[in-house]
Order: sequence, then C-alpha cells, then structure tokens
Amino acid sequence: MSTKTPLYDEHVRLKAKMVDFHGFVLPVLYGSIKEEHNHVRTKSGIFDISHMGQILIEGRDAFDFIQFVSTNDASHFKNGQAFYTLLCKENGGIIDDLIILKYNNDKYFLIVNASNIEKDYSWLKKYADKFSYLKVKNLSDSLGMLALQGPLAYKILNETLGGGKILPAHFCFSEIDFCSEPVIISGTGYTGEKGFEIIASEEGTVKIWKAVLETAKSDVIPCGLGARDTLRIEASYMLYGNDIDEDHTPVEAGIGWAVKKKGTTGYIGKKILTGQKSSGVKKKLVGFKTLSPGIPRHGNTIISEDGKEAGTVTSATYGPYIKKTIGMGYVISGMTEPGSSFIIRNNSREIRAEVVKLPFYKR
Amino acid sequence: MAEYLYTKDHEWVLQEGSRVRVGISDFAQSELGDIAYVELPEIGTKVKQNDTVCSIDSLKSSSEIFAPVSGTIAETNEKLKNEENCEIINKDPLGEGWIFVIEMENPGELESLMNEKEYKKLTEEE
Repeated sequence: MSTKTPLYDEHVRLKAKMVDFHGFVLPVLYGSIKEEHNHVRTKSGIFDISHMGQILIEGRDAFDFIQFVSTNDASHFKNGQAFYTLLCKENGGIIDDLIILKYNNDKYFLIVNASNIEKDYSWLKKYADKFSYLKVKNLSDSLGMLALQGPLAYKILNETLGGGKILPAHFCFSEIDFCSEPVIISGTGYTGEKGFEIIASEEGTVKIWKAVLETAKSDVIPCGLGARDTLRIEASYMLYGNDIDEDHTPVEAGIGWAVKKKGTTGYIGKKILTGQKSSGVKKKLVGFKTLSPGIPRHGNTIISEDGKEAGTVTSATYGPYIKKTIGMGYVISGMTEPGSSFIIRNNSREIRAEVVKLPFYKR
Repeated sequence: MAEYLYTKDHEWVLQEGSRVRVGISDFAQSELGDIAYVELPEIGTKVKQNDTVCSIDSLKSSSEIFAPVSGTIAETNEKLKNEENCEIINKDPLGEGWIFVIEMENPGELESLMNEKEYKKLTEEE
C-alpha cells in the first residue's frame, strides 16, 4: 500500500502526475520536467519531500555512537551545523547516505532516504544496544518535509516568515516558530542551488507549502521527482539505489571525502575503507558526457574502446540547464581519467561518451 | 483534406500524394514527457512497414519509432537536429513536430492504419 504525504490533496488539485516512489505517492511532474528544472536554476522551486525519513539520536553517548556508525568525522562539526555522511557495513558497502543535523554532542537529527527508513532504523538500533546512554527514535511517520531551492529561496522564505528572520547559512540549521509551530530549517538541498529543507508536523508542512506559494507567486513553482532527479544529476549528487548501494563503497563512489581520515577513532567499515583510500580501488564512479545521440539509462553496460565490458551506467539524463546529456557510472581503473572515452550499450544502439570531471554543474 | 491516421505504436500519418508525413501522437508525447533527443533517419533509407526507423528520447525514457508504411525516407525534420528544438514535438506534435516523410512503396498499406476515432478508443483503453 502506498502512503499519501500531507500534501497529497495539494498535488491532486495542481493536477500533478502521481507515481509510487518507495511506498509513497508523490508527484513526478506538474507540467514539464524541463520547465520545473530551469525554474529552480533561475528562480526557485518547492518540492514535497515528505517521503524522507527522520531519526533522532539522543543521550550522553550520542556523539560516540554517531562517530561509530557513520563515516564522516562528527568532531569536525559545531552545534547547529549539518553534515553529509554515510552508514556503511563492515565490508564498506553503503547502507545509506544521509544528512545529520548536530544540535549538540547529546542530540543528533538524521535525515535518511525513504527507501531505507526501516533498514537504517534497525541497523542503528542493533548498534545502539552497545551504548548505555542512548535513545534512537524514528520520527518519520509524524513529520512532513519540504525543499525550497533556487537563487530566490532566501528571499522567498524570509518573506513567507514575515521578514527580519535570520535564516541558516549553507549547511547550518535552526529551529523557528511558524504559525506557533516549531519548524526545523536546514540550509541544505539536493539540487545544486542554494536553498532550504524544512521539517515540520504534517499540518505545518501544508501551511508552509501554501504560504510559500502564496507569498512568492510566480517566483516559485511546485516541482516533482522528475526535476529533483535531473537537478541532482547535474549537480552530481548520489541517488541511493542508483549510484550507491550495499555493493559499492564510498571510496569507489568518489565520496571518500565523507570518510574519516586515517588514525581517527574506530567506526564500522574502517578497515576496508582506509585500505581502499591508501591502495586504491578496482572500479570507480565517474561522470561522463555523451558524444553521440541518445540518452543512456540506469543499468546500461559500458564497453571499452577495445570492446570489453568495463562498467555500468548508474544515472543519466539530458541536463535541461547545461544542455548536455550527462551521466555517471562505475568503470574499471584505467578508464577513470577525464578524456577517457567509451561506448554505452543502450538497447540496440551504441552511444559514445567521454569521462568528464564532476560536478557537471556548480552555481 | 487528408485525415490523420494512426498506428498502434502511437505514430500519426498524414498522406500527401504519394508520400506520408509521420510524427508521434499527442497521447504519445504526453506519455513520454519532455522530448530531449530525436535520432533522425538518413534520407534515402529504405524501410519496411513496422521496421524501427529511429529512436526518440525523453527525459524519462527512450522509445522507438516504427515505419507506418513501407517506402523510402524522403525528408526529415531538420529542426529536430538541434536538441533545443525538440520541444516542438511536445508543443505541436501533429504539426511543427513532424519527424520524417516516407515516399510510399505500397499505398495499400494505409488501409491497415486506424482513423482518429479508432485510435482514440485504443488510447482510452491503455
């Protein structure tokens, strides 16, 4: 059965095309993916991301626990900061990628992928038993979440909140009251633009959605999962289940920067990950642009110039803003340097492509 | 005036003497969403009815366009060579957004296509 988000009625009223996404009914588009995409790049867009999960970690052992279960170094972040990190298995395979909001050393708020809420929660519970002073709470069912993204996001949110508020900077967060409800505002996103992710009660989510649309008029448009995907590919952000999964490690995925440096405290996956960091990996995620017509798709095989199987496409799209067909995929070492070329087998045709540096788009 | 005929694969066909102009239906463009790429066939290519002629990519998916009738590719819509123009298929699928013209080998094959009413019934079933 599919779960309706608090904004379901709004999406239907706006005549969105709805799809099932990991058990949630969500809009894939309202009109055109291209228009929604470019509106976010030039003005702003608002997304219903209520499918995302939220898990609260509290207690005296919270800092040690976060250091142990996630790969990024939590000691680098101050109270009020948000950071990207990963949960990994002992063998380095990725359980999930997530954003953690650090309230203080005793309180962390985790934002996890919809597809992994249950898996993450039981993974965290399993290790939490080893810590004495720790509570793990899954808040996903009671909270809604929005993203307001784009160059006008700051102005719009400020006006919606009545002006004069100090909104959190990039990768910082704060709690504010909106219509006498507590709301978390985080300076994060998944589009490559500046903007905010907003977490509120189900009712609060609907109120904020309506208030933003009313305040910003044509400066903001509702955007669906389609544009969310094309925007994140241009910005070369990972999508769990496409680009990263339990069969790939952060080092292979090129996000080794979110893994603690050698010599820091123990954490799950340390042995494999520090080993891969120092001695390298056999396959690596690269970005590519196409050189011949056609858009490759997830799962297409990558063939080397001498005709050998050399990898797999994980994500690809036509980038509506950069106006190029781009994608990401794992290839064997030796083919990872920018300028290396290969062939992608897509149905009956072959698409030529060349490795390029990531990201494809940076504001 | 000639009327639009349709295939079960959602191409439309408009007869112009010994030739037919071909595109994708309004239903097809709305199902595909934003068209990003059209791989046009070479002029002069001989095709048999139901052969794959070329492919079309939207942001969401790729699909193939089949020959509604046998013949020779006589013209292609050059505007579609520029990716930025591909949205004309979304905006005007039955007009500006035509894809290619076939010089027919056997005009009798047109008999096998659907008229607008029959096609509409098909899309309502899908």
